[in-house]
Amino acid sequence: MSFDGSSQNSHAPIVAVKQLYKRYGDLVALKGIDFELNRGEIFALLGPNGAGKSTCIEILEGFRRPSGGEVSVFGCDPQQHDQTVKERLGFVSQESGVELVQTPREVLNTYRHCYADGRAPEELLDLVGLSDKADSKISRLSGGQKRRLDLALGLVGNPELLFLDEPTTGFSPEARRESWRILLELKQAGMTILLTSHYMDEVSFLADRMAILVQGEIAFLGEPENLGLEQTIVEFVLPQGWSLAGFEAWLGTLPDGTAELELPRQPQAQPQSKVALSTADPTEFLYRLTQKAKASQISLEGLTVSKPTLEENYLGLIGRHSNSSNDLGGEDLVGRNDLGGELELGP
Amino acid sequence: MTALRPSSSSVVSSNSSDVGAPASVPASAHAPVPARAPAKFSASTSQQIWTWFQHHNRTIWRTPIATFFTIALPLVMMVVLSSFIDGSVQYGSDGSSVTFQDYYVPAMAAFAAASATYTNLCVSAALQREQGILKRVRGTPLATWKFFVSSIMSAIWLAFIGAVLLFAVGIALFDVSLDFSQLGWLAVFFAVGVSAFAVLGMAVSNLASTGQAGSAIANATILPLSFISGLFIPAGEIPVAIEIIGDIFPLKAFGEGMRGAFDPGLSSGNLWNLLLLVIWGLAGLFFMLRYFQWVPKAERE
Repeated sequence: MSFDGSSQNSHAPIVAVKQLYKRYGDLVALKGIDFELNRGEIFALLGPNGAGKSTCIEILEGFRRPSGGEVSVFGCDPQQHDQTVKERLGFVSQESGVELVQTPREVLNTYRHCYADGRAPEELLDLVGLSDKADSKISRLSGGQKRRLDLALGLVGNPELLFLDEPTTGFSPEARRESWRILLELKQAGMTILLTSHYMDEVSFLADRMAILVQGEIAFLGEPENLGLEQTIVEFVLPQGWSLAGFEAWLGTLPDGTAELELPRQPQAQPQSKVALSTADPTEFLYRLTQKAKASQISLEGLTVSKPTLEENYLGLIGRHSNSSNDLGGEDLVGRNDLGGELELGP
Repeated sequence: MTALRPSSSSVVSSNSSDVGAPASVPASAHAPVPARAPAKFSASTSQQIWTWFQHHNRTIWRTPIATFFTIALPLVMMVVLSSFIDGSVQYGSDGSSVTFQDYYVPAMAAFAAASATYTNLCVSAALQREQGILKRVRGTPLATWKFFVSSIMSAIWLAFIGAVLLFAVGIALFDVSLDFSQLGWLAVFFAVGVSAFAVLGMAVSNLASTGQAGSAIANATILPLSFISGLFIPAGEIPVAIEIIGDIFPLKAFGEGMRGAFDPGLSSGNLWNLLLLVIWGLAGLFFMLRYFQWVPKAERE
């Protein structure tokens, strides 16, 4: 894959979003977000349903009009529907369909003719693993196979930039892995990719950088592995007969968002629960905790100190944002994810 | 990826030293091409339109319901009604002697041609909008006029097949008296009429975000109009107000133009009818180009 000399201006961002604001009636879907895509990177917009990811992509595709702010794709306003921009752009949207009565080979051939450098249907079918379905009616393909055809159609113009709106939603674990492999191959060949997802594992596997969108705001912008890096999780079982409130009174202040978790109950045993908390200063906290426990001869059963997973950090971040503003209601976050209140994140 | 030619490699490496650019992708405009690079695939305008024309045809011919309503329904109506209605009754304009069959065969051919263009395109464009097919097309660099032309061509092709089939069956079964001296007019009316109904169908489809809505709008307009334009039943004594409505809309003009080759008394109205079709066609063209919607209303706010 080559760029045919079109990359002279390789310092300019391929996509630039500045103070993008979008409202639907009373609902504000995007509250002034900023991000840029650099050549050759995979950038992910991550967030729960309704966070504004698809709205953002549809504005970049030129189908929706921003209510405020600026967006540019290859330096052009997407609303202009510039042909030369479209030569360089492919997209796989959630809403774009295809004639079910035709075959993958037929539609790929048709769409190939739209581009100045269209790729051969056979090559694309081979890439997405649909060669054996090339001549089946699309109506007979499974959901995952149709989605792979969508990807092939997104690639038919040999684009430099690819927009992928939730490319693996509804996929089996193996099919997701396979898609990830294809996307990494495309990246290696020099393609720039903007994808949306609500899976942290997908984003941490694929993306060089990500923006976490929560309720129309960017809650985190950066490399996935830097999400919540400063946090440490401390867990232990509450001593018999203690409540969290009693424990807190005994120890002194606990970090905000400390949670008491019910443990699975053993037969013939008293109910027990666990304390789970997240702290940015584990040395100080553990010193205070263990010193006091040792002095009082209390044994802290099941004491663990661990780094949160990216998934936990992500869910914690969403939980915190959902709680701070009430209009989304928030998903019920269980277990260690309740610790989000302590996370200090942001650009 | 590929080895660079020695002569240019130093230039390339100095240009592509910026951080982040993949090392294997030379940033220089003078980048050497890979030795065995395949020729670029690039289609000419006529190839693009021809490919899309075939694409639309496949969709039409593999969707039996579309071909049933546009071709089979008028054919069945024509055969059944022409078989039992007495051929000696006079239906001609100005009391001239035209049999029911001379009246009904071209009228049904006109209805089939209008269905194949107006109804078909109104429904299929709305369905393509609902399914996100138009959105996908809009995402490609294909010039929009090429998409419109190919859609309209495939509808006209369907109309042509329908009209030829109806005329052929009518001539074979019912001994209709086709006036061959009027064939030129028949061809002109057909060409202008189906073009006008095609752009009108595309224009009207903009009111619909779903295939069902498109079907409702198309049928709610063309079916009543077919009655008052004398396509389903010979227009006898009808109220003046309804007659005026029929005179304003293009379907009556199209029907009379198509019937002209079987009813010489109609030829005096040819120029006016043709003008009316052209005006409607231009209006449809304007509204199609100016207001065409590529995605449903909810997706373009």
